[in-house]
Amino acid sequence: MKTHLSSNLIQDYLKRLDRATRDIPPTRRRELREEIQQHVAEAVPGDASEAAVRTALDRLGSPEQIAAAERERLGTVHARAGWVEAAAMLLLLIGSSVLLLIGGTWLAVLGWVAGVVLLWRSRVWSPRDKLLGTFVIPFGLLPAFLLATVPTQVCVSGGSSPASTCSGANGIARIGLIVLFAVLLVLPIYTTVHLARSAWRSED
Amino acid sequence: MVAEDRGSGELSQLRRGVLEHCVLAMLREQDRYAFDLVRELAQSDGLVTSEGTIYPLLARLRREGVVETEWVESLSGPPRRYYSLTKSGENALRAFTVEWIRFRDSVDALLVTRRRT
Repeated sequence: MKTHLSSNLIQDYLKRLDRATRDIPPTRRRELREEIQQHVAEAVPGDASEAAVRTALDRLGSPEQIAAAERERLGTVHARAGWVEAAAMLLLLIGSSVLLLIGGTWLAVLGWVAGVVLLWRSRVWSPRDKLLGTFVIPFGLLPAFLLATVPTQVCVSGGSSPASTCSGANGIARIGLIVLFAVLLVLPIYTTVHLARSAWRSED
Repeated sequence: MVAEDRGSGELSQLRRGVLEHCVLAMLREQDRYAFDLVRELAQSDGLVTSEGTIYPLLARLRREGVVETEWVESLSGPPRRYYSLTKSGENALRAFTVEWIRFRDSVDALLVTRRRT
């Protein structure tokens, strides 16, 4: 068994590699990760000490170095976040909010669609980031705004004693709604922050 | 915007081109699996900066069709990917060897002359 710390070192290394290779085409990115992972498995036997793991990782070189070599052999240029990413995020957020606050104006729809297009065209985000950006932002905000317009006299229906729970459950239901509202509001914000962080995270 | 690390400049450019053919040369005698290949290449002085950067190179060679690979079951652990030279790889290696010797001799001659004067 590898010590806890040793396997943590390897996990950290692979995570750094994932970050550094975000702009590599997915198939090759996955393959490269497997190659490196297998290399480490070969280089350090199961009972390797922390020092042995560190040495093996040192010999591999930094994940950023490997990513740079991959880009070079692929003939691609390192994708860095720029105005496209900033515009994508602004359009997504503003598009979604305006759409929901003011109503379905064509401009807002267009803005949001443009945001999605930019999001998917960018090379700094992984496919997972792109899916998050496409679905979580509007579909978090949408129910959140819908909830905000729901009248407060909500009765919980379908309970064991539907008639009597109405007023009693009202308070609980309201708290539930507020929590749900907060969660739905926080999710898109969190996603936006996540997108910003993965786009502008300092890279070596 | 693109701040590329040029490393040791022209020498690293040159090294990259040569490196591909060093891998081909290592496969001339026998098929090898990735780890073994990477370890040996990394041990040659001054050829590569780190082991990890060889994997992108191997992928490139696969794409170019100068090497091919086969997964072979291993007694000690997961299956290993064995690399072998293709016909086109052999040709590329032969052509490079001729070119390299000419190139090397010319550079040597010039460098040595320059140093004496």
